[in-house]
Amino acid sequence: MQVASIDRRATFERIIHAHQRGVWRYLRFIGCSRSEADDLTQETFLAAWKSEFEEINEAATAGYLRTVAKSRFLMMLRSKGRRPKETEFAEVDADWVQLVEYDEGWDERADALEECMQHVQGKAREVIDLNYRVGLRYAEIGQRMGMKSEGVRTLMKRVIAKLRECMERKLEWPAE
Amino acid sequence: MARGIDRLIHLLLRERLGDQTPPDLSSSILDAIDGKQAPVHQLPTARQAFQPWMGVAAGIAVCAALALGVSAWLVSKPPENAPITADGNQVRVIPSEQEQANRMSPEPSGSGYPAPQRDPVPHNETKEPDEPKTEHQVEQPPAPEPEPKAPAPEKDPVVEEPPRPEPEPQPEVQPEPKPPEPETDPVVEQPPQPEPEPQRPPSETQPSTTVKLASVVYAPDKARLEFRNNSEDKWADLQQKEVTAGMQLRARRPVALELDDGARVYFDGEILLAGNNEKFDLTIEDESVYFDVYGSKREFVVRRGDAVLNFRDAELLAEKSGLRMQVSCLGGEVTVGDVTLKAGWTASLSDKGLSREKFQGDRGRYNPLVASMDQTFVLMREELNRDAISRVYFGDWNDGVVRGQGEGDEKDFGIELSNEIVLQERAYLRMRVRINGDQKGLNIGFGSGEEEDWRYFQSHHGEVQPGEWTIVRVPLSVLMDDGDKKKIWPGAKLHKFQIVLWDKKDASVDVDWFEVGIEPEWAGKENGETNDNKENK
Repeated sequence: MQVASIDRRATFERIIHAHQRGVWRYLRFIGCSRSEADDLTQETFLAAWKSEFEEINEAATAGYLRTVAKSRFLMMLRSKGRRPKETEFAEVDADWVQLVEYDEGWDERADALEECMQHVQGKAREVIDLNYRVGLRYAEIGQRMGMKSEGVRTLMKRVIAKLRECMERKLEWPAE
Repeated sequence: MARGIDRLIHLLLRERLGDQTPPDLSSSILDAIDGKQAPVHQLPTARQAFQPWMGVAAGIAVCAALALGVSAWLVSKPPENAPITADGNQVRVIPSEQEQANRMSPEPSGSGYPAPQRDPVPHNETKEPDEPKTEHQVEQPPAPEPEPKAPAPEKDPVVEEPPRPEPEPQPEVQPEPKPPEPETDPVVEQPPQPEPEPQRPPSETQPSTTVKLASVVYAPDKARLEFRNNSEDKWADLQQKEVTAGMQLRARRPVALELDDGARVYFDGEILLAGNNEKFDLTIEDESVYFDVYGSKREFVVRRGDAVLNFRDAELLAEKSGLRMQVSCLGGEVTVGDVTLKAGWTASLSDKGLSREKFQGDRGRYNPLVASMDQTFVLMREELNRDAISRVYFGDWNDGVVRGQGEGDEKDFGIELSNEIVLQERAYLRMRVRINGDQKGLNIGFGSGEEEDWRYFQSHHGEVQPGEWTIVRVPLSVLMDDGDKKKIWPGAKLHKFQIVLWDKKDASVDVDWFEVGIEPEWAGKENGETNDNKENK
């Protein structure tokens, strides 16, 4: 019994190492803040540990953990009095599966984006940097760059659309 | 799918550019599994997430229980004309017996006592904690969509309530029901009582009332700076400049305090001061406090509710955020437990430590208090961020610090100012530098195009301790053009800044930032010669 329990813990430790980033990213993708994702990732693995689930293969484990994480996320939303729309949520979930889960290449996507970013220059690049690197809001970016915040928003939309097109091409996703 | 791709792009950009990568949570998960500790963070407890429906549900439950109790009593009550009136008396006796039983032994599994049948309130109380749980369970079904490829135990997350349910329902039930248990947490119990004055650590404040802590160096009339020495006292205008331990201060606009070692504390709300010559202890009652205490040897403590932060040698903004404190590190670093907040990061502080850390770059400087103080006291500030690289003409930039090395050339550090500055009276230079290796002194100088194409005003300072980061403060009125022995004058335009090490053998200077500020007029008049001799800390 002792050996079995040690084995189980070792297996689970491996599962944690293999899947915690994926669970965390999934939670971020479906709308968690960073701290929420931290909390829920831990809770997801604790629930999995207590449920004594058995590992079949990587994909099944990922799917199972995702389901638990999603359940925890919904519980959290409800505990805060928020009511997520099921339909919208299902769509986001399906997007994740299609865009990330079936091809476990997060790094591949990151590399593709990196290449796409090479083509984003000048003002557009500056806006992206200020928003994502420095963490400024549109209004603050506008102040810095002498633009209206609406202008910043429009520019951001255009840049993201360009990046999306580029990603679709590179990763051979079906275009809209 | 377009929206999904956009989400993915946002996520990737946040990871790549914003450094918001997934943290390694494995050790905390494993610790929780091994029972060493609870997960690092918990979801909001039910106390925080009190919903109106919970109150309604509790009310309905109480009513239902009362109705049940009354109807049970009516059913069991014998008809009035029946001779067995003693039964009625028995019913009345039950509560007192129960009380006795409770007093004598907490376990009701007594010996033949009629079990306490009606005690609607306690029954309701014990039921109530389950309410949220059942609510969760009712709501859960939509969440765990049956995953086609997931293994059999997939449904467990729904049933897997054990780790969470108990902590959630308990706190919200406790406040209302049982009156006999308030003594366990008097601090928490007090706030609901009508006490207008906030609580504060009495041990810190009372004994040290005569200790001078700082001077007010900036307090415009509009700030309406007031003080009192006791929460019972009335607020009064602060006439003197000295502020002492035990004082409460209140201002409607930013006010600046300066400690005797040059450290500055700005606030724009209400604070309570405590401490002594070695420790500056401040409690935020309202609004925010901006500490610029680089180079001070003191320990600084800032409190808000149960949140306490101890720090030294840093620049930070602390803002009231409910009973928590939002801490933004603007320079240096602060540590709570095993979490360190570096410059550019912000986090929420409670009695459990720092959480919700977030990188915000220099957004902290846009805070109204910080920005207004910078505008008031600072003509220019150079953080030596990436945008400064192209303007640094002597020295090597590395992650926000420029290292200048002589090697025979006189100029060790040199930079074109981002904007030309016009020298004003009471202007001073403040910079954070570290001298490495032996040196006999430090020359600072500003380049100007005044009267000639190139003119260099400088002054020598020999007191900088090598090997440690130091804030050097120099009044610019001492700058002189050595060529024609002419002192610099207000109105002179400056566009370059340089540092030269006196002894250049194996020595170098690291520069973190520098600024040119204006000494407040009040301080200048009072001290005669501004703060000239506070230059080295």
